Amino acid sequence: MTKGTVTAIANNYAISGIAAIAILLPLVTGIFDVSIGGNISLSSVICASLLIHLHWPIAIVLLCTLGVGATIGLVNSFVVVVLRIPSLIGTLAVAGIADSLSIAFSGNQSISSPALIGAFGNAFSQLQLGGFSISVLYLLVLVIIVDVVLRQTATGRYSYAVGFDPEVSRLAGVRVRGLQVWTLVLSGVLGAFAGVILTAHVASASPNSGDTYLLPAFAAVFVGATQFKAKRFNALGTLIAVYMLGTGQYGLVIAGAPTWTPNLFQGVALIAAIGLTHLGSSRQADNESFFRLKKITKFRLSISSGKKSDQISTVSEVHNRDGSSIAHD
Amino acid sequence: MGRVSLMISNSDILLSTSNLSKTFPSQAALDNVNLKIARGEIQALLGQNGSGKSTLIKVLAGIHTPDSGSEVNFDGAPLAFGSPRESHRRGLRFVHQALGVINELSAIENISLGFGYRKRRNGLIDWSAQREKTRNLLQKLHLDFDIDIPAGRLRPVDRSAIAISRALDEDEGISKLLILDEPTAALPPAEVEVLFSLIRKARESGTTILYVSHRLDEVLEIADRASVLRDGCFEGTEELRNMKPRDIIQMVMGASDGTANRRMLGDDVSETVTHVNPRHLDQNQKEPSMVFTGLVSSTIKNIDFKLGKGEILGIAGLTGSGREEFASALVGAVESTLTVEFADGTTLVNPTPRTARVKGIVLVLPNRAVGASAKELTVKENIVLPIQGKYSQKFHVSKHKELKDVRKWIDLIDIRPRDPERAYALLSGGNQQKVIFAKWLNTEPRLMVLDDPTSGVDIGARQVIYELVRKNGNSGTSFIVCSSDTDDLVALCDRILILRDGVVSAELQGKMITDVAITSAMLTVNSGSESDRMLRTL
Repeated sequence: MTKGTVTAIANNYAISGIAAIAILLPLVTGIFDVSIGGNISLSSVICASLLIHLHWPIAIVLLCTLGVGATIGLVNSFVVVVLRIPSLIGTLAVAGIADSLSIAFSGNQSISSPALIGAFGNAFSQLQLGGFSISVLYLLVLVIIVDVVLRQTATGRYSYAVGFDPEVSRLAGVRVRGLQVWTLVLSGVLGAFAGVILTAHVASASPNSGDTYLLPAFAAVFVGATQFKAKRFNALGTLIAVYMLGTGQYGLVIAGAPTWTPNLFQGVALIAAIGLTHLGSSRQADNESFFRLKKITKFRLSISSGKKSDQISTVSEVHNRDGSSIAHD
Repeated sequence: MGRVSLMISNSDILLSTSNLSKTFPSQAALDNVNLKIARGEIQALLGQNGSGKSTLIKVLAGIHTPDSGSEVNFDGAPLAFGSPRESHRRGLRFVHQALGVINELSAIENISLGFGYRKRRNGLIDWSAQREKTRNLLQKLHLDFDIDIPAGRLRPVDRSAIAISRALDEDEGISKLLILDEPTAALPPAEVEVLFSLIRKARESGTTILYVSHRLDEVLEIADRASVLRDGCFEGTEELRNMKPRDIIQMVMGASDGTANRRMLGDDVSETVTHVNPRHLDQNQKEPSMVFTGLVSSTIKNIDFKLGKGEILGIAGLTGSGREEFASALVGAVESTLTVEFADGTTLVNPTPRTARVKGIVLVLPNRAVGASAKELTVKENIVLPIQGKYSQKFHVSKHKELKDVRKWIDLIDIRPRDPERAYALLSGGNQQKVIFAKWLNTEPRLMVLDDPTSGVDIGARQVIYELVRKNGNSGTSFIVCSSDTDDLVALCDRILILRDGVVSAELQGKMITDVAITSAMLTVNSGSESDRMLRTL
């Protein structure tokens, strides 16, 4: 592999990486944020039109765009945490809304102008460090921060606890809903940041442009969870997975594979990585580490729809809730 | 109750195992078990948690394959191992502790989970035939309830009945042996008798029963004979008529353990009950350290009470009395209103689990309950969870401090295996309960509110829990013990409030606290609905 290939892969998949880190945060607390694609589309379009049509300075545009992301995060929070709609459905709906807005703002046209390149100045994408785009640096910094927060702070530990068992966490005095709101808002802001980078990177903004990042982001986070022994969602594993999958995909493109192969590759890799982990651990009686991944991959309606007061109203009630699945023990 | 007299000849043996062993990579779970079950009997299988009961059941169910050399003869022919379908076809039926009844589905749908629906020729479900079949199955057990409403709205014992009926379904072969694993674990005490009558009906219809439990009083009531497993070894089968409970406990516990457990002894020792509680705390001389006023929740109407420092207060009551919700309501885990005044002059109004914990009031749930502990986290992570913040410095969680505290608890209350990084889900029930205690003791609480602290734990763990409560009570931590198990209350409490219809209907203190007194206080003061319900179930 030449250096050119390495930098090309690093640069091309930095946006996927930022998107993956964005959805990693709510996923740790048990929430699927599938609005990431719509978020990237909308923020990219807004960023471009503010720069081109209104000629606002880049700093203000950046703030506004991140504000849009934060708003999407708050809407997600309202839907998932307040209304208790299951996150996969709730954020899917928000994604639809964001996508529509991106079409409305752009007049369903790609926004591009040579002015867009100059408008970003040096801070995004154009600045190269030894062939690497600055967005790679952003991604690395982000990974380090998120990794430290998840691993080394009480907040991070609480987040994992909330993801694995919100009721235990609530009774332990953890601010479950507060944490979930925070992760959704951060996910929104980081998604918008990915949108800004995308705009700078391709020097244009198209409606629906963010949708292509949804599958790679989730694939990276889930494959990333299989990278370490603990089998938990984590930032470093996600980074490794982004570039593992990216390299494979890039290889296919270079080898002249048809244009429909990249998503096929992502999908197959995702199923293979998680499926093999399932197989490997279910063969052993001691599938300790695997409990973690399995619990999260199960789509958990109870997180959002559970009526908490019912859950512990009576002991007998508790017992039979406990038994409300066919036992294969 | 008409026990079957058993003169067992070879042809009467329904199931016999010979040299049945099962070795897991780390330990031998079953070691040369030679169990025999006679046709038509109700046999109990006794043993502590980890004694090999579950492994034995799983071997019979075809989930585990035993070591080579093991043999199981069932109904005159060897049983092929490792195939659940084969075990079922031969007539071995299982009702697991978790029942496998889906609350959102009706009885009809739940029963069809076993072996499918009756279908018409066109492939669509023949609902009337399915309904008929469900009725017939329930009729065998002399049961009649609405089979169209979601199972979650039925009595717990009716859900057990659905699971048993499904096991007795004979669409795919006659059910010859019904194996019930801890069938009373999820039942309120008042419904246990109903379950027993179901079991007897099932036997009358021709099915042999293996009743797996660690509750000797139940076993004495329902079973003809009892087999005992200890550390994977078969300790023998005894006619219960000829056995003293003490001797059976000896078999279950192994080496002569003077601290025979009351739960296992059943009524046999009710005279000694008053001496069980070794504490002589005279609460009248103590200033209350906490005053609770205006406790209201969905089932609790309005309760005021005081609590002394180091006092152990019991909460008793029948199902529906408010007892089930009391513990959760006290810390605001369910919707409730309440004012707590502390001796230092501070007050806590309408607590949430968080504010309650900050003021030193914690809720200790039984390990089976939703919210008790996170199965996917490690032992360490569970223990430090409520006060994770205490261990964190700037961008750094002190693993050293965490481990030090967690190791302390592992040693102090003997959590096994002694591995802080062990996944919680892999612990036995008793050890899980110990972890839950450690989690809350680690917050240095002023008051621990225990909700059914011994439900589903074995004899050994029960004693450990009792000792923990007494020891911490003596060193100044107050306790509120809400329990459906009068043994817990008798063994632990200085004072007991009896609840009825959401209010306190009686109070027992000191020497007045006996099994009989609690039970009669719960029953006799109830002139109304509760006693009616009680009678109806009997």
